[in-house]
Amino acid sequence: MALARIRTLALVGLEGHVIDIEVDISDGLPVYTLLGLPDTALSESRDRVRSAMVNSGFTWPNRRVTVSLSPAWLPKKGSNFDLPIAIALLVATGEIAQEKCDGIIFVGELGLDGALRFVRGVLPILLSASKAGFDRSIIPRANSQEATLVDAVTSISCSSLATVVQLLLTGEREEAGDATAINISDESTMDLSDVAGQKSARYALEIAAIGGHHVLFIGPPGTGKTMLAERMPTILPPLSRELAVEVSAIHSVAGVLHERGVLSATPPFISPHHSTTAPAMVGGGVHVVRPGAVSLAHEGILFVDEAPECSPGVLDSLRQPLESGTVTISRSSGTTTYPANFLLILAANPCPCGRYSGRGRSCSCSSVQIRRYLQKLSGPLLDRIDIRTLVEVPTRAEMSSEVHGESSADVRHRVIQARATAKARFSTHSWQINSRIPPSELRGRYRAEKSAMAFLHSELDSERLSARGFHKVLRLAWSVADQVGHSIPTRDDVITAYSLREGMELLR
Amino acid sequence: MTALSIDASARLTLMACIEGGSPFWTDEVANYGAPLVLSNLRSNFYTGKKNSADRITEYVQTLDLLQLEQELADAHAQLLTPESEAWPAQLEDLANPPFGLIYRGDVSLLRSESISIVGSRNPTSYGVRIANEFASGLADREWTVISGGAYGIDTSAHQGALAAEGRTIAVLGSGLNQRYPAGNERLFKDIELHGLLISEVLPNVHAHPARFLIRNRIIASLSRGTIVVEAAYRSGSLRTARDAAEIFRVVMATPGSITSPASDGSHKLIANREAELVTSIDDVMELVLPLDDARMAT
Repeated sequence: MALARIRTLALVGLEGHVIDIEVDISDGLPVYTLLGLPDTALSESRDRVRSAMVNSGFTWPNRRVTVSLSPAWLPKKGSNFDLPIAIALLVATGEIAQEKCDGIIFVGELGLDGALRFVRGVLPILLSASKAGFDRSIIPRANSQEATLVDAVTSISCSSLATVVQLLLTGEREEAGDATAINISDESTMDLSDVAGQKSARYALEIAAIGGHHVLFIGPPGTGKTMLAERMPTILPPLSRELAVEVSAIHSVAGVLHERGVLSATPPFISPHHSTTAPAMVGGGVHVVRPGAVSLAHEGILFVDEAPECSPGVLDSLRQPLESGTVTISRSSGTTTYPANFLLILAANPCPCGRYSGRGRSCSCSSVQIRRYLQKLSGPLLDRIDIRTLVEVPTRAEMSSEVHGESSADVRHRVIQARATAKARFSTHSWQINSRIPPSELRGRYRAEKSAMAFLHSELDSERLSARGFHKVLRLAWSVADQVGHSIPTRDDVITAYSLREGMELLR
Repeated sequence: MTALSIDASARLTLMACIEGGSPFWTDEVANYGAPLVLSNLRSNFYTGKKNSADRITEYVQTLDLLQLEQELADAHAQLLTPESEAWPAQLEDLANPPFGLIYRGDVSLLRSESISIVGSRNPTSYGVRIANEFASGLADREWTVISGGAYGIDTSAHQGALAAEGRTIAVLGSGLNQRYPAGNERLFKDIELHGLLISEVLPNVHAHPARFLIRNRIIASLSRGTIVVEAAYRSGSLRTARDAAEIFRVVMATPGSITSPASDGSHKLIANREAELVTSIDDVMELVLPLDDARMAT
């Protein structure tokens, strides 16, 4: 038989599209044509496939070979088409019967020796495959762990082209079987009790975790801003299996799944360096649009240390994902959307030299430098940040104290309870957390107590609070109320929320 | 525009060629009158008597009174000199009062009861709040607020007064056409409408760091007392406090947290007994009003 058809999937963002790979071998001069908008890595597949086939003991058809990837209009990228093309060639040359391959998704890159190599994005490919109705796949051994996350698709992992062929012909599997299904893990070596002192910063983190509020930490170097932020995932509710798989899928596309662990319930913590570029932050790339830091931090924390040192465009590129929870990147090859629903924590020194705290006498910055430094964080970005907290140098007593602060487990327990309260309250609405209550509802059904509203209105009248700030304080007040179990924010809750937003203690 | 008197036009010319606050020149004008000092300048009388005299003598020859008056008219600004009815007599407490003032807005405010609020250009939200509240409190008691035009405490003080529909005076260090910082232009427009903008230099004179320090003496002398809200260790507001103390005005400061660098200078003032510690607008009223009045006001 000189015609073969094999199925695989091509990823656009996290969305897999079923691709038919057709191979036709006909009489004529030996020539190899690859159709269907291949990129460079895919065009190079000819040489890899040819060497892999020859070195695995098969013969390369010295005739006219046409490989067509359809639908033809969809641009196809990467090296994960090597295995399906090789199998299609072997079907076309008669090594394997077409029926043996029907209903199977093939994914994998081939080495010149015929080895089957790791590819990115196997998890989202299999997720899409199951949605498209497939239930069997053959994948590289190195990807076997993530494949176990997709129950609906039976995946067999192989280490070389030869074993794939053997499997198809005889049903014989390789030894040292497949990876066993993994359990969701939620282990972190960090704990909030590691942090000495910092009572107000801890409280700010807890409220942020309850309502999903973004945070700005300001404080001199070495006071524990990073340490605090790193421990945020340990007090957030653990991810459900469904969300954990979604997060893993993004990490799989980015090729960094091994860093995170295949299935982790701990929300991701991503901290790009302040010299990072906008494409690294939101995602980008010329041919393959890779997810950026905002997508890797999906359902977790994006922590930007030394935020004023970032180039202005980088921080402002966060605005769209902060607003919509997704990020859309347009390139000449098309538009890709990745989820990016993260909690933002920014950290900043009080001034360029970092010593404008305490009595500030050792600070070498001019008044203009101090003012400009925090102004580098643009207004529109700061507007989206609900909590601003000063992180001060811990006292000697706090540093030497043998009594540890509260553990992450205790705080997390309260966060989970408070979130459950909020979820029950919002059961008939489209949002579930306090930071998402729309302004109209804050003026209507989700008002605070009467005396609390009077306080806010007096602040509004004296122009100390903007209308936007008014709504932000109310949303925060709901989180403060949920933490202590009030059914409606009291005046004290609102004043506490106001203090959190202003970064100062208000007199009650 | 009505023609300027001989004294007023001489003072205008002197304002254009001599930097404010110089003890020598203010003494000369006090002793001999502005017209005589000006004609002496023109006839090279001062040449060699004072370091700055040569440059001023040279420059004064290039000045044309009509052009200066035109500059005022173009800026929609008015000149105020000691002859004027609205001239604030309290300026004469200064060792070196200005030759005149150039203003835009409601000049009667200079004669009203007033308090200055000065402080850091990098305030914390705590400082902003205090400046706001104190200014609103003064406005509620029909007192006028006086401050500079800088970002930070100055801005918050004006905003507090305006929000309470009170009156406020901004004393600028630069000309009325060269208002600094430009980012406060909207605030300056508001003050023009609901208060008073003044400066001791001609409308087209640019901002210069030294002029802001010299200007501080006017802020200090116009008001009954000066409140320092958040001054850092090195702060121009401390100069205003010193200027005020020298002419026996009440100097007040609000305390901050001892861990806040923005309040370090205020704490130094309080520690050295150079300022009274105030924590509310009632404290302020008690200090600036005579005893029986204070009882009535609170």
